[in-house]
Amino acid sequence: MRIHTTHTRDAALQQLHRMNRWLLAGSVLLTGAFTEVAANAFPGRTVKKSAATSSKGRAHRGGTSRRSSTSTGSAAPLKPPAQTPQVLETSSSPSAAEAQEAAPNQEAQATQEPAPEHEAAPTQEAPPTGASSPPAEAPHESAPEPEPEPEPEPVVSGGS
Amino acid sequence: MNVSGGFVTATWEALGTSILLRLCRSSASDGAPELESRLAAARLAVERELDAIDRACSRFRADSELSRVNASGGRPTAVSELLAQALELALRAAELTDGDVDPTVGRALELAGYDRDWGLLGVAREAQPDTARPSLALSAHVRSGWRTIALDCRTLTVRVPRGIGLDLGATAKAWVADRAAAAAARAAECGALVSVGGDISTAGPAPAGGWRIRVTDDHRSDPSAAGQTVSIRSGGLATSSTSVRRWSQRGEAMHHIIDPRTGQPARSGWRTVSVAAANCVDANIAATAAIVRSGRGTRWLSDAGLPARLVSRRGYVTAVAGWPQEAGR
Repeated sequence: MRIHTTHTRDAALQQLHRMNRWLLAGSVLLTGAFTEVAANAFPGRTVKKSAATSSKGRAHRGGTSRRSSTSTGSAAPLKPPAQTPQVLETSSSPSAAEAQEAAPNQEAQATQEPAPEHEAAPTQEAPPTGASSPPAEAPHESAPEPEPEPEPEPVVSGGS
Repeated sequence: MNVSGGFVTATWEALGTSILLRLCRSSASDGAPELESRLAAARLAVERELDAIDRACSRFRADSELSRVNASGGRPTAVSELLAQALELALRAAELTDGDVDPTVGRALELAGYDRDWGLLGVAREAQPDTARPSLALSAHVRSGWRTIALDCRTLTVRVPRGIGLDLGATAKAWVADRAAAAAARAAECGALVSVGGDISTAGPAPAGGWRIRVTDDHRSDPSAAGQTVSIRSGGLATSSTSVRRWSQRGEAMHHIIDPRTGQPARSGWRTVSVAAANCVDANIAATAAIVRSGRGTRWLSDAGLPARLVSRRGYVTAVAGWPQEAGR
């Protein structure tokens, strides 16, 4: 009877020991899972002032608001220019073979330009003026107008 | 210094790239001496802005604020108002591009081999064997990096998780161009254009014909290089390209535009993208995102109404959202 009781007690203790182990492992796993869920649900945030800041050295006072850096649509959108660029000159001349290359995907097709080999078509050059035909009016005898100052070379925008 | 046709121009090196400052005559009475005097004042203002940004945002200066934040090991770090604004802009870029322009690619750039100022990189890489390539673990870490940055502009603190390195290259250079152009126009009291490594911003009254800009692959190219010359009257124009800042790692061509989804240089169908916007920083965000987005970039730019010129790897040109067609087309 005593032996039976001892065995029962030992078995129960062993079972408790195993249960504790499983509980411990389970709690570690659950903690990890909850951490992952929380990290995705409540990620890093940005607390910013409501007014855009630009002046250097200005103290931060009031007017604060919070926003989550994960929220979409809260950031001011990219602003288009007030006026689109105006073309002045082009001189790119990829080979005819290169001109056959497709744009990276089909959605670009709608806006694609004609093949690059047409870029340098001589027909686009402005006809020479004053070389083959006389001027409509005889030139004045007064002193020639001062030549306009040459404009500086354009500023280059490229990768850096 | 160069005075020509009512413009005065100065060029120099800073931030590891070339700087150009151009002013236009504000009135017909302005002679060369007046322009030179205006240029001196404007250059001083530009240099102040460049220096401030360099001290705050450089990834390559050990004494910069950004280096301190990157080395903070996940602890909240106090930052200046300037760096807080730069970080805010970088997070805005990430949000607007759905993470395609992500400031947390610093570690990926380092592992790709871009771990020092570009001027020093060529020399150093000759002396050193190739190092580790971006690992899968890094890619996973970089992927959602920007969402883990906690920036508080009220208390001027930022917390960057351990293991994440910030790089503000996609926004800070363009932002300093905007700041510098505004400062130059104020100091010189005339129209000003500032180019910081080809990222161009304008401020003040524009010249009669607008600011003439040659868009091409490399900002160090001669103005006669293949490309297109356009004029803008305000705002900014920026170009991103995979054909510059290239190096080789284990025989593989690398470049500096990282795709945050892979942690490796973007495999883009576009070689060069130029974008015009209301300011240079918006233009640069869009240009970089378009490179990363590759084929999806055209639709995105068009939907945003941002005029852009995209050049494919073989030189095929696509214009969107009102960017002028190539002459002769």
